Amino acid sequence: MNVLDVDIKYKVGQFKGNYRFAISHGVTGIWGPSGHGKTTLIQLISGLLKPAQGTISVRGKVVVDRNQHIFVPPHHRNIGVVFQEARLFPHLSVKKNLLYGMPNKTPCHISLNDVVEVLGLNALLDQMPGQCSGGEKQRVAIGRALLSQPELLLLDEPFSALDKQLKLKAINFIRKVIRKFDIPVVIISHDIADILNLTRHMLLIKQGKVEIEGDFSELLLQGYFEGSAFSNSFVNDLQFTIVSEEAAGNYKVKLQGTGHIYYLHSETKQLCAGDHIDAFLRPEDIAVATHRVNGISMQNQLEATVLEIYTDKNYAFCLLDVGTELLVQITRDSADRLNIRKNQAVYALFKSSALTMYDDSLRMSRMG
Amino acid sequence: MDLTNYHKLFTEFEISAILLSLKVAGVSVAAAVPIAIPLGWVLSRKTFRGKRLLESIVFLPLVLPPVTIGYILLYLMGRSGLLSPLWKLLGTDGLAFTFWAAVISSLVVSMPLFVRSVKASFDMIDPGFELTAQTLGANRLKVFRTISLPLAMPGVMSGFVLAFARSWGEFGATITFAGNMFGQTQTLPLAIYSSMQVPGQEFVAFKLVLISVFIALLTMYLSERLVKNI
Repeated sequence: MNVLDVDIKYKVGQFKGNYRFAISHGVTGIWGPSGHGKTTLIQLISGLLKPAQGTISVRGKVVVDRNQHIFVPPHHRNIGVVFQEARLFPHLSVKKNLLYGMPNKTPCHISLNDVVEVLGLNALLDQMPGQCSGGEKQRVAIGRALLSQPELLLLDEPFSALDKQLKLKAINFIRKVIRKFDIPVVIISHDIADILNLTRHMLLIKQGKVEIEGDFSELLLQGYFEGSAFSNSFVNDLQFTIVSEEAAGNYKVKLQGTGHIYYLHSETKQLCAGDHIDAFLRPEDIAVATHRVNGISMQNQLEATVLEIYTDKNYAFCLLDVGTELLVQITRDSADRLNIRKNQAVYALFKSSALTMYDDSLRMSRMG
Repeated sequence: MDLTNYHKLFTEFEISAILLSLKVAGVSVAAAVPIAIPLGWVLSRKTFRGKRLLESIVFLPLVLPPVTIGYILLYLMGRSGLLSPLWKLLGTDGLAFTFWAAVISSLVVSMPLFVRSVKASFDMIDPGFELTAQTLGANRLKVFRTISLPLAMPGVMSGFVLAFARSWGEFGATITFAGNMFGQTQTLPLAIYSSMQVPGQEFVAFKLVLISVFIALLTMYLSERLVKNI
């Protein structure tokens, strides 16, 4: 069963929206330029706006059907919304904010303790929202939405108010939330990188319509990312298991789900064989070679196949299969020189220090 | 000072005026609360046909001379006023020249100040908070009770104080609609006025003016403390 079925028409002033799509379990991104009706869509789904025509169903339950005169008000929809500005109630403590939407009659499968633990809110509980930083407010807003026990969580531009380091931290928290609570999530953003950090499955909204729905690689190939500078904060996410410590801080790690061996460098954390870690790799930190390179300091040299390649004015974006998908950004000139083509066998090269553990980067940002 | 001898400090005339004024202002402002808060909210949050007209009616007393208001009230609620059939039905002579006339005069004159202050503070609240509360499962009543009203509280309090102060000083509408009857409708401003009419009573008028200023200052001080503590 779909988590969300939408088929509606909406009109206000010059703006016309005609949304038709379905969302299944997992994380779905809704991407599109500013002013093309993404926030309107969130308001329509959550019940803050009424469509002129059509139907919306949440897990098969009809919440809007204009023909049948059905309109379930927002407080009965069971949809959690996290808005861009966090919108913590300024007169209530963090704890009271968190508990605001928690039903006191029905049993709750998401508990306050779990939310506080996953989102790291323990030290904030007695604070007032005015005393919290932007990133903290965002986490509280996510926790508050989760505690209302929603069947679907909508995130409206959740990272746009955060700087790069805080964004990374927020992404890490949202990932933990998704893993822990197994809740369907829709993330809406004008920044493709924000979406790519959480999912590869996305809808593109333009002028109030779903222009295309698909996986990142399909959209990449069709040139939908032209000029969107998505690689600025996009990171490849990788999960590893530690195999052994080769030298101080230098670890041999195995990519989870495959037998591929990588090398990772961490100065800040002592890791043991068998530890699971989350790490990321920036597309611009990866080099491509057509042959194995000898006499080079880079420890990671992986056999890869080019799944897709897309070039814009300055850069070439290659989607490589190295046992998992890896997005690589090289200059267009390099791609032309090496004559990189789809399905070509290549090597992906990167330093062990380019592979960064999420926990490391958070710790460093805290120290910095 | 020995307070048991206060009657030596103030005459019966003065004490009656002070207590009556407090009573009129207290009752009128208490009656204003359940009207001003919903009215301020509706004017701030709702759009409907006739909103402009309603707004004009609510705020009209701000710009009308109080005597005019007293005249209109008399015309409506006097013994042979527009509502006289109602008085006949109830077996009364109407409300004019009674304690309640003084209360109604104060209420009408102070209401726009109260409503304006409440409306302004609802205007200041980001509707996003209310919408967010709805998505968290709160119905309209819960949103109002737990979000809108607490956030508007400073404005409600200052409106309350303004309304009290305005009632405290009300003169024109009261003397027209309620008259100037000792012990019944003779509030502090009316008592001051009366004392000034009688030769040799200048000191009484002066004492009442001092008390009037003192109570006004005390009200302002208390309201500031209240607003600060919210």
